Amino acid sequence: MNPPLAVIRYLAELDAALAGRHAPDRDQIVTQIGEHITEALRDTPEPSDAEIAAVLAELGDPLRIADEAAGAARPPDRREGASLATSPRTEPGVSTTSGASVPRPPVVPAPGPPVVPLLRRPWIPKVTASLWVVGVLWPLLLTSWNRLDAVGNETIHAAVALVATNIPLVASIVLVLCSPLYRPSGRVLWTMLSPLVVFATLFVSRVSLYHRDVPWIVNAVCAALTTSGALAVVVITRRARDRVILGAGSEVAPPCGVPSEGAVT
Amino acid sequence: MVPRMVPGEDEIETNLRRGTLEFCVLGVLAEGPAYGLELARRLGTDVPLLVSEGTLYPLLARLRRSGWVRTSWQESSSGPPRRYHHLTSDGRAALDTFLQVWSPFVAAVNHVVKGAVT
Repeated sequence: MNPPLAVIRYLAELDAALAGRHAPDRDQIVTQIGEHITEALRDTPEPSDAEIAAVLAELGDPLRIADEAAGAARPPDRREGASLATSPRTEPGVSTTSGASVPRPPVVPAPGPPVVPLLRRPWIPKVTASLWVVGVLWPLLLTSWNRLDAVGNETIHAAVALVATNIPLVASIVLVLCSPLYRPSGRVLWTMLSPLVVFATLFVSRVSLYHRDVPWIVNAVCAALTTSGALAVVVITRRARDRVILGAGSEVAPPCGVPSEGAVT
Repeated sequence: MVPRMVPGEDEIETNLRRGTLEFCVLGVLAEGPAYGLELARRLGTDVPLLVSEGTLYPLLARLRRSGWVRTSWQESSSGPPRRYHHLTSDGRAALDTFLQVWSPFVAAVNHVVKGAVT
């Protein structure tokens, strides 16, 4: 089940507020707050908007959480428009028990709805994977359906040119490198495997099928590259999608039925 | 000289909380491991020590980095596994040191300010 939009927005806002933190801290905090929300709604399979808002209000303003992460401790937020935020224990402007009227900061107008950063939006993994598929097929579309006569320098140069000018593939790599939805390992795999998969696909479809004398090991390597590349893209895309759902990304709970006692530090 | 505004209750609470909250977390964990929501509720039920529940998590991140708290996953009979926070031996030592300082400190403060209490 996808999380409610309000939760996605809250976590995205929190993630953006934590932008100045180290990535591991940022991921841990956002992930654990995602877990907190899940836990708070555990007994409510279909929570109402009010129930979700109550949980988010208990969690408080993402900016306050980011302040805490930065080590600052500003006085509790009294903004009336704190986006999804806090439940103040006293109202603005009330007198304290000592009778002294406490000066309050001016009211800040309510900000607009939180904006999910472009590269963190839910459609990014789908679009990136689609671009990759088009990119792999791109050379096949641009080359004729005739076989290539030999695996000579000219053919190799042509293949390199087809990869270098492969706009969809390059776009998918740029998206993977720039979007925070992808982990570093996924980025490296995507960037390294993509050109190899294009070469392998091109070779198999334009050379191997027409030349009986191509060693079987070459064909096997090409097939393995293509298959592993496609599998890697599926896995990386699914992980990116999971990070969208969690609102940031991060550690994934061990599979049910496999309790682990290992420290997660 | 710039005159200083009279601090509000919130500001005083914030300042007091700054140096003590992490030890309150360690104190709760000394009673046994707890997952995030449970910990937040235990810290906020009687006296609200947390400004908001969300501020607990940056604090836990710092405690983990310090090696005073570790986490583990444990199965739950009513849903997905939970991430439990445990006190480490270093965390226990830090808590013990704090407790040695805290009681005399509170007593000293009470002693000094008791004359002002009407």
